[in-house]
Amino acid sequence: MPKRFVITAIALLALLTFSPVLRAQTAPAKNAETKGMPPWNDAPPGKAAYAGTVKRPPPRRDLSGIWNGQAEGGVQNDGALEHPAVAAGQPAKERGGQADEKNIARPIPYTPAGLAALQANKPTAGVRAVGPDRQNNPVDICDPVGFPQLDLLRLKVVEFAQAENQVLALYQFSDTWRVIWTDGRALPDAKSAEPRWNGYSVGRWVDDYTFVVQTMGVDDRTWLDNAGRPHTTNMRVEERYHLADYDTLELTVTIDDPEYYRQRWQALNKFVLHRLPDNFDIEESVCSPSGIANYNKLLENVLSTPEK
Amino acid sequence: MLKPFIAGTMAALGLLTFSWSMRAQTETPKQTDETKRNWNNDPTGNRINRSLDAGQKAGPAPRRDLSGIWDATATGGVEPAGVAEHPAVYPGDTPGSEAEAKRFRGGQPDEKGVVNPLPYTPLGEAALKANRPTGQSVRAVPSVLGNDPGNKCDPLGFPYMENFEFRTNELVQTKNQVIFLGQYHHKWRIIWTDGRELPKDPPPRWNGYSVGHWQDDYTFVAETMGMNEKSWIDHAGRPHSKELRVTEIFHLVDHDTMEHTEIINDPVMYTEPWMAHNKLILRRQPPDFDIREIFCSPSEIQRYNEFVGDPINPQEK
Repeated sequence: MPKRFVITAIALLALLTFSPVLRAQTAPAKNAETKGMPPWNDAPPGKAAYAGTVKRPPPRRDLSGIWNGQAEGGVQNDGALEHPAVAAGQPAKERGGQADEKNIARPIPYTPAGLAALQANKPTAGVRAVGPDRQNNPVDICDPVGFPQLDLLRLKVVEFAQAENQVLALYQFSDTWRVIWTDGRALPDAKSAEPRWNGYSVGRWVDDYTFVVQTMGVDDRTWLDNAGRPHTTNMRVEERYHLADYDTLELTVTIDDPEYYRQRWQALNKFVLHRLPDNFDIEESVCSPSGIANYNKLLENVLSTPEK
Repeated sequence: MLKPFIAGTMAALGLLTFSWSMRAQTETPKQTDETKRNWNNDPTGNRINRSLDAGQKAGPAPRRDLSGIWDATATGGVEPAGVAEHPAVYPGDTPGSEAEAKRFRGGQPDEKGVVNPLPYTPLGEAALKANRPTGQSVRAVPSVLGNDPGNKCDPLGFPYMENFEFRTNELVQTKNQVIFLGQYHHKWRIIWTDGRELPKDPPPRWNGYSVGHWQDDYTFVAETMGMNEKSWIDHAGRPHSKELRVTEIFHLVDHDTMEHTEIINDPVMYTEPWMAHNKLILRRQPPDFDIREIFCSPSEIQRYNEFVGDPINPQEK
């Protein structure tokens, strides 16, 4: 009986560890007072409310807008959407405890060094999931999410704005932003660029509706996804944004890191983001170490209450 | 022996507390000329400030357009002793002065004797005392005793994000928003310009809820409310309640110069509104200026404390 209690508690803890990050999202929206006015503090409406409701061609060479990835699986709890760390048909409660990713439905081509780096990362999700007391996901202590994990962990709502020489991405998750330079500059010299959490990004339009971004120089302390996939500072990432129609933006993310992966692999493949109304107010979703500490303390108190 | 040791380490800690966020800036390899021009990898970080070339005459300001990359680092935007208009320091506190030496001993329980005191209510005074800032104010404590939420990577929130390390930030305008992209902690906030009203009694946010309008062709006024009271106003630990309202005035003086004025109005904590910034100057950077990353990382802080913070403890035993 006590054993079962501990296991249940661990599962609960694993869920609630994320809760401070999500707290604001679950707080009730108060829109009654703003009826008839643009909304504040809303969760994205149901997909049917906006997806495909505007019939017109996409704008040329323009990603500007507020885009929702939540409706199509942007919250990727088991790892990057194209390669979740789960076996085919495996129920969530049966995952975890594996040393490697053997038997997952869509394996990733690790090198030996990549496999060793994977095993050093201890996620709380997927077939390699461990209990919260043994995990070491940097995001869980509010370290920066970093790129490309911004695309591969909780790709909820993202706003793109365009300046004359930049595309700017504002991510809902962790309230952070990045710049993609479009002024034709070359990426920095790989040997001299200091690693950054979000790396260095340049982009160009390959046709009127397809924008391709190259990123390098990413700090190797970040994970690629929630399943603990590792990368080196020599990783290159390609993002391909394709405006399929006015309401639909497809994102393909390709990882190229020969030290850890024998070949390039796709983390997202034409992942769909839907355009939200221009006045959509993106709700705050920030990580707070003190919030996490408060939750953990609360749970400790609950768990230390003697069983009657 | 203990007391002088703590006092002596305070100054060092006060300075080094900044270091965790700037770690990457001290590990910069050699740059090629082209890289230097395009990417901001210089070890001095924000000191790359190309629009401050002497003798350059600025053209007229654009109409109703704040877009651009704006630097406050060189003009007083780094405020380790509290907001620029009300630093918690003594009169005559200049580098090398006796007042400065006294300030670096810090540890004062209140703000008695500071140069430009704030009009605290009794509740505000009590809330101030509960906040234990590090940094360089008269109330500064060693980092091990401080409780600044920003020092452990809690979100700075608004207006703290503009009242401590107001460094190089980008403003972007869309048809219905002004977007603020902050360098320090790398966070964004949105000021809506579509005429919406501020919400009534909304769930608190770290950055609150902001709306703005153009008062004239060169003056943009933003109003913000609904802030999470867990955040501080500045690095001297000035408190605020959920009733806080902040007015910001962005005024374009010429093409290269913007003034930032910030007014704090929180009747729960202060008996009258007060100015945190009064025409604080922001200088426009070239449009290709690469803003350097400054993130807050708890794992970096932990490592920093292991190497620098914790060695204090054995001395105290």
